[in-house]
Amino acid sequence: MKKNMIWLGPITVLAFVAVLTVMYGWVGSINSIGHETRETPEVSPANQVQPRPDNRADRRAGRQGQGGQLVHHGRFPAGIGNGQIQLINNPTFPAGIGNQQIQLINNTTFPAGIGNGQIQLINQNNPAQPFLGLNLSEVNEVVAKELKLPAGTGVYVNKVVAMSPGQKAGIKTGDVILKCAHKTVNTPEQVGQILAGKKAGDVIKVVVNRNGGKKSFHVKLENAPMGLDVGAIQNPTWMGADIQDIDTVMKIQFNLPDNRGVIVSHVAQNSPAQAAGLRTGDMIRRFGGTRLQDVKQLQSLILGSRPGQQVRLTILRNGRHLALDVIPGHKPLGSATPNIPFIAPADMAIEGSWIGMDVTEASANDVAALGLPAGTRGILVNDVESPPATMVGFQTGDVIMAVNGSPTPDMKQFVAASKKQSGAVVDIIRGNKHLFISVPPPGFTLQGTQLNTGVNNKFRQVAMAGPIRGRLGIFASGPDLNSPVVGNTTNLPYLILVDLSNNSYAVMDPNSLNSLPQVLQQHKVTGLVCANISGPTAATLASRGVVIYSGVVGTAGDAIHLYETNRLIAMKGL
Amino acid sequence: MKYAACEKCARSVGMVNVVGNISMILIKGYMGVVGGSKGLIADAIHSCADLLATVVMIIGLKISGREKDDDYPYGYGKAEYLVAIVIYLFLFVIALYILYDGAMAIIEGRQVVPCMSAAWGAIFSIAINELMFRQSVCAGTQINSPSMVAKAWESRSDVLSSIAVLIGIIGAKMGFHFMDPLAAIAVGIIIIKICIEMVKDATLNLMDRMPEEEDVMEQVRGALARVKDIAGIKDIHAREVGPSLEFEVWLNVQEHITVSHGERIKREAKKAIKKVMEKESFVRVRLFPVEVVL
Repeated sequence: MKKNMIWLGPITVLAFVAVLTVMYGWVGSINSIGHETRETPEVSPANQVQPRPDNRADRRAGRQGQGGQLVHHGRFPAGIGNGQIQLINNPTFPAGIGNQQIQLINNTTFPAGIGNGQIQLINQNNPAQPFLGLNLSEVNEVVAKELKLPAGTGVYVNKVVAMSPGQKAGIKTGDVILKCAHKTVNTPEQVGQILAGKKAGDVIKVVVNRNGGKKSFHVKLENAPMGLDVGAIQNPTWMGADIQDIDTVMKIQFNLPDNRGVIVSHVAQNSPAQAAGLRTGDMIRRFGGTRLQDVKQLQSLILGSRPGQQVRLTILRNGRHLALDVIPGHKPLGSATPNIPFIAPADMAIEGSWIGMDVTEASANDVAALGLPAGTRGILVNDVESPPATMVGFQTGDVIMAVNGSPTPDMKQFVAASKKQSGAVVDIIRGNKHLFISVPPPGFTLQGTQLNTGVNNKFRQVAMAGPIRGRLGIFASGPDLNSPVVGNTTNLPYLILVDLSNNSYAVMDPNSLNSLPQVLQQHKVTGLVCANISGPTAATLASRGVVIYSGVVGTAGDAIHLYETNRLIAMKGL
Repeated sequence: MKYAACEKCARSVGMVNVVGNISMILIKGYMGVVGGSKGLIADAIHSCADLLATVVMIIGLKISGREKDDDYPYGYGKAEYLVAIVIYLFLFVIALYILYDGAMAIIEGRQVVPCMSAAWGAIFSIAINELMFRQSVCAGTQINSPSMVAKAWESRSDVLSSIAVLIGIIGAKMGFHFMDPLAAIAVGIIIIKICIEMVKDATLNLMDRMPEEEDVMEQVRGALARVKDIAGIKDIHAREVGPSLEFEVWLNVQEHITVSHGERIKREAKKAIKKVMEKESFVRVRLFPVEVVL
């Protein structure tokens, strides 16, 4: 007896070594543990009792019809212009997904840190995931009873896609998959997770129960063809807040001490986030005990958390730290994106232009066409023409709700809010999402670094004391040479008077330009640079000997440079 | 000895090592699997190798303790070496697999992203191994046992391998995903080194190689020099059998002495050798009569 006990020692240790070795090989093949959702899909009692194996397919199809977000997209077309990345085959977004939004986050192969880093909290399949070609669901009670399987084991095959690996291997509708790649599977999600660790060309063994007998198949995996929905991980954990990374402009506007955290751009109605008291403009610093660095991190934390499990968020609001307890849930199925047709043609509208885009007050028609709640009032972006609007990511169809926190229900308030050109954080609605778009101050990038002002450095600003001997006048959106050139049709442009002989310029306030011809004559302006000009004004000025350079795009400084090098073309035929 | 407790402390070294290694295997294995670190799992296997060394030694003691019987008149001392060879060949294969899988993880660019719990496992291992090292060195010095000090330095090498693993985990956390498999490869190399040394030792002992320590022979000769009536040492053979040493000594004695005198010389020689030997020794003495011209 005692003699035999001796051998237990080394045998135990060696068995442990063997177990560890298996684990060792296992560790590498699990990609990105943190990104997998672990919850099981909800199945309503009705579905469980009814012997309707295709209930899942129906529900999924229904969600697609409503424009649900879980649309799988096998590959995405490269080279969609204007730096846009459109990853979702989603017909409901009116103008594609611009602003370099990343919609598909559960995609580890995607480079991080693109542009504004806007992220929607949507979990999605890896586009390059191989597939079996099987529509799977959990085994319902009737089938389990018939095949004499213990409840909750196996995965039911609803449908086998034609020409798919599953069909080639011989799997048929009605089979119950018991094991996949030597691992017992009980939910479609487990199959999905096993597939996520494989690649096309791998051969996996699938053990099924067919009519009560066991059969095994060797399936050679292939990549899913485009547009096919493979067993996606459904209904991820949802908090209901749109979050964004913080850039320098936001930091200044919201008076934040630093940018270690993420900012809440919108809180959805009736969401867990709203229930917890989260508000637009809050900066989330911690999720549970974890310090947040960026949106991606928070996203994976939310997906990794369990619905119904309370999480403490540490937020910064108005310079004070608050702790909010939020209970993440599931996104209600009924609240999918409403179907949004393309924008109706503009009707009677009050137009304006700002930082290179044409805007109007959003009419009731526009609001309805964009699928926004009735009564939404804001400024609709009609056309995005030139920098900086194109650079910071505005798009046609965006509705501007607020600038720097001041609501902009009509053009008057919009003009008042947007006139301050020292950087702005613009709250817009695009599709059904709220976004913050940062407009950097003139001469600065979004990162807060000053642009090289180049030729403009030699010009110095002088005070408007007495008549200035200006030869050139420029309409600009702001009171300096870095402001874009605008037209006289723009609401209240600044007039910059440039004296090229002694490299100086002076700025005239928009309010002092009531009588433009007299002002120009008083300052002996012989040339006027603008982005556009109305016919009567042009004729009046031309008759007084002012040469008009219209259609100029760029900053006032650039315009001066062009003028100095005789590259501006005068308006003719007046 | 500095303190009275040193003796007790030295006796506990073996037990502390076994308990420490078992707890480290469990913790590193668990943390490695849960934290997703290849390096830490490899380090747990490394600790298994250390533990096995101790276990093999204990088995050797037990088996060698069996009485000689008719079938095995020389005893069971060599069973230990056979066990060691089998176990370490097995570990060798495991270590090769660690190297292969680690290398493939790097080549295929698999994302091994350990979490911080793995780092805590490595830190724990570093701390425990360092403490064990310090205890062994201190106790070994105090009771003047070079073998205990030598074993202590093995614990030190475990500390180094755990540090490599910690660096690998932190590197992987910083985004260098190849660092963790790289640490695993480093640990695998250490395991292979252990295996080769152990298998080599066991094989050499099976082949009845003379004990490696040079001073063993010197000590035996010194001891015999003090025994009376020995005319000279013709030859000494020695081999390690399990935990003990076996000597065969041919002594030259004067040809005219009586048998009883010869037997007395044998007894005294045996006693003298056993006295100077640290390990348990079996001595066989043969007398060889020579004509001594004085």
